[in-house]
Amino acid sequence: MELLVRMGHWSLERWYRLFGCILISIIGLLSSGCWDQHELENRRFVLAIAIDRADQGLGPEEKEATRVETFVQPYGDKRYRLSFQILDITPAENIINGPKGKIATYVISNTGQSMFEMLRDMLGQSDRPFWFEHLQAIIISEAAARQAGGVQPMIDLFRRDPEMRWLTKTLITSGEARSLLEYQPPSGEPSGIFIASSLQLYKKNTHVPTWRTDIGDLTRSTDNNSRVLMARIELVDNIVKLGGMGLFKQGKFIGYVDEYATQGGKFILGIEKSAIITAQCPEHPGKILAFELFRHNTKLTPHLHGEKIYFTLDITMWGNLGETQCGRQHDTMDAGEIHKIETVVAEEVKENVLYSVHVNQELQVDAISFGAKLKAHEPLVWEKVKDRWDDEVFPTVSLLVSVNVTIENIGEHK
Amino acid sequence: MISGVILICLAILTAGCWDRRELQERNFVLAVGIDMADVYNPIETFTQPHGSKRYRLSLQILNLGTGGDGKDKSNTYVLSNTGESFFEMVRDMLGQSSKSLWFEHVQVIIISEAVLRQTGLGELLDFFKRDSEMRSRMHVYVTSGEARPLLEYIPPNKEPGGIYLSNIIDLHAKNIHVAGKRTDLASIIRYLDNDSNLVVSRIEMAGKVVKLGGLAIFKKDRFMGYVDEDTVAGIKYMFASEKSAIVTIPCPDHVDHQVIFELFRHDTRLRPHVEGDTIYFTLDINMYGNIGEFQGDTALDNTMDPRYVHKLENAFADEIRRTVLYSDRILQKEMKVDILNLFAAKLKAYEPNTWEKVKDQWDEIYPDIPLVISVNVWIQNIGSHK
Repeated sequence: MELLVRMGHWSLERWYRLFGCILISIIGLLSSGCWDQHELENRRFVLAIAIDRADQGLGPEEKEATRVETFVQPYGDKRYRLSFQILDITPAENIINGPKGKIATYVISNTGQSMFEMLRDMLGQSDRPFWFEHLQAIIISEAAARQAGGVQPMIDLFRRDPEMRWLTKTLITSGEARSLLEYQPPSGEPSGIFIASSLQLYKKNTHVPTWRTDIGDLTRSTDNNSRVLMARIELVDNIVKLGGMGLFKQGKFIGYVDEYATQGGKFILGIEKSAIITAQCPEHPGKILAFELFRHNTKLTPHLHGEKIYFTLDITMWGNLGETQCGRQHDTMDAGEIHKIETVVAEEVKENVLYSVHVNQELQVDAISFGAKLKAHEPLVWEKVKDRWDDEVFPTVSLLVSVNVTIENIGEHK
Repeated sequence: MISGVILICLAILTAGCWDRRELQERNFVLAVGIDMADVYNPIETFTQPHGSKRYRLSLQILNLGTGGDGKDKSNTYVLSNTGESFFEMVRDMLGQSSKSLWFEHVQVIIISEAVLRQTGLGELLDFFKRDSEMRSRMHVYVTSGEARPLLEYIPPNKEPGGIYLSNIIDLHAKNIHVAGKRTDLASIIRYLDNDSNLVVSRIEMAGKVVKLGGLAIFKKDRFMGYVDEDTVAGIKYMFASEKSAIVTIPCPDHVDHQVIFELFRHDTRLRPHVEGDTIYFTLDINMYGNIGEFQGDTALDNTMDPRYVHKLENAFADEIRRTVLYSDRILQKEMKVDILNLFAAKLKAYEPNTWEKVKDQWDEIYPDIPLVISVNVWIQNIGSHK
């Protein structure tokens, strides 16, 4: 009581001082950063997600398990089987036996329709909360993508949730997706990390689409009502391989594109960093030779001729002679011979490009960005044709290809 | 001002980090195996614009990976792909790998005989010859079976298989059954470019046993067949490429006893001679060494007696002569291949005028050229005392 009376007589300066003290204590408490701490070991890192059709690839034992791996659902049906690959970090038991701990993964599944609902129900199978910020890959099985609704209901959560990263890779497989989560790569890495890092080798490997077959690209393409690409992954007899891609249009799975067409598509878009182009030897039929691309200059331009739309593609390539299997009978020291090979390789690039265009036109999917080019160069024409682009205009568009190849090094000397 | 800008540029450029590549971000390829693509996994391949599914290429990859119980696990694994162009296959295999493949530490290329029966060595090795990432010191082996199991082989000391396999051949100086000189990639390419005949060591695997011995003989780049270990010894005597050798004979006095000579030093001379229209070669060998082993009743060990030692010297010389004649017969009469162009090169060096005359028909002349051999053996130490 006495204190309060005394405080009544405090000068303004004393009030300021007291206020300052309180402020400093509050800042001290708030800024130490511990109030919202999440410990690493109290989280379950989800490295990869697989989405299958609910009844896909189930043995009798797994059928039994799916009875537990689910919940009573007020709405929707048991359409999808969602699986998580979870990182299991065990610290080293003691220092003497080596400083390394063990890195392993395990897989849990749930069935239902809403991804978010399944995810939260899966906490009933986990001792710690899930953590999605290190999610590397989402693998969708073809059977799930072919179900009603297409790819949209499977992917919506990953576009909306703030915990998901845009760089998470999206892949499609013709078999069961869950088995890819259970796959143990020979290098000992968790398969989620293995798959994502393998996709990053797109610069050297023209048989996988690009690095940007991820949630970010998927979101952008979906919002622009354009095509969606997913890298294709396959597992047979404990061997995993990436190559080719799956195409989607308006959320619907259209089909697969093989490695050769994928490479051709990369040539059209000019996104290849390196490539191996094989061709028949001009002089020894049945023998092949390989050109290694190092540098290129690619230009795709739309043109108008009256009502007709056509495109020109000019490619200049520089690189080395990588392999000649006609070997010793071939004098690659001779400039004339090299010139012949350059012509053959250029012809082959042209064929590859036209094959890729043909595949895209057959599927009526513009995965080679002709539409985007037209929109940029001829916006008025684009406005006119954009509604019937995919199914009417694009499949009949013609492409004129001109390729120049220069061989710089031949890997040989006298 | 300008010096300041230069200084900053220098600091950025010379820090040396702009093109760094981390060791752990590479997959080291240690061994390469080439098989025919008779059986392969349906996904170990790709859509091929040209060529057929002809070869199965396997790469042994070093696993620098994690894992606490690494002791009983292999530290390598094998990836395969099928196609025709090796360069194309290698790049497509990135779809099976999480890191880029790194070839500068390849130790050995193993080629299956089935491939060589259809294709010349030059076509197979073209990619390895042209690519700048390949080192010319890698060894090349031929196996009569499949090459991939040799890549999967785990050596008893748990070394990575590729390193183990390539180290075997480095012991050729002591192992007379292995001809290791001039069978690395650089030598093979040199012989191929010179249109010369060449040899490649033979490796075999049965169950969990791997052994190197014998040679595969090539006429130009075509595979002709194998020769056994005894022939390899004869070839090495002719080339004077042996550093040490073990020669076994039955004791001249007691037939069921064995005496073994250990070669330490030798002086070998292979010379061509031309008399009129006939060409013949002489081979003079002087050998110095020890008695290495005496098997039999030691009571009958007479090696303290100089006359007995002299008798042994003659017997060893006969044995060397027999070995050389044996391998010369195999090469001249059966294979009809002037191995590594040895005789042609000697003739060219010592009798260039004659060489000019015969070089176009050399392949027909060579099988009929006589070889005269004279061998002297000196036993220096006997390894026993009174």
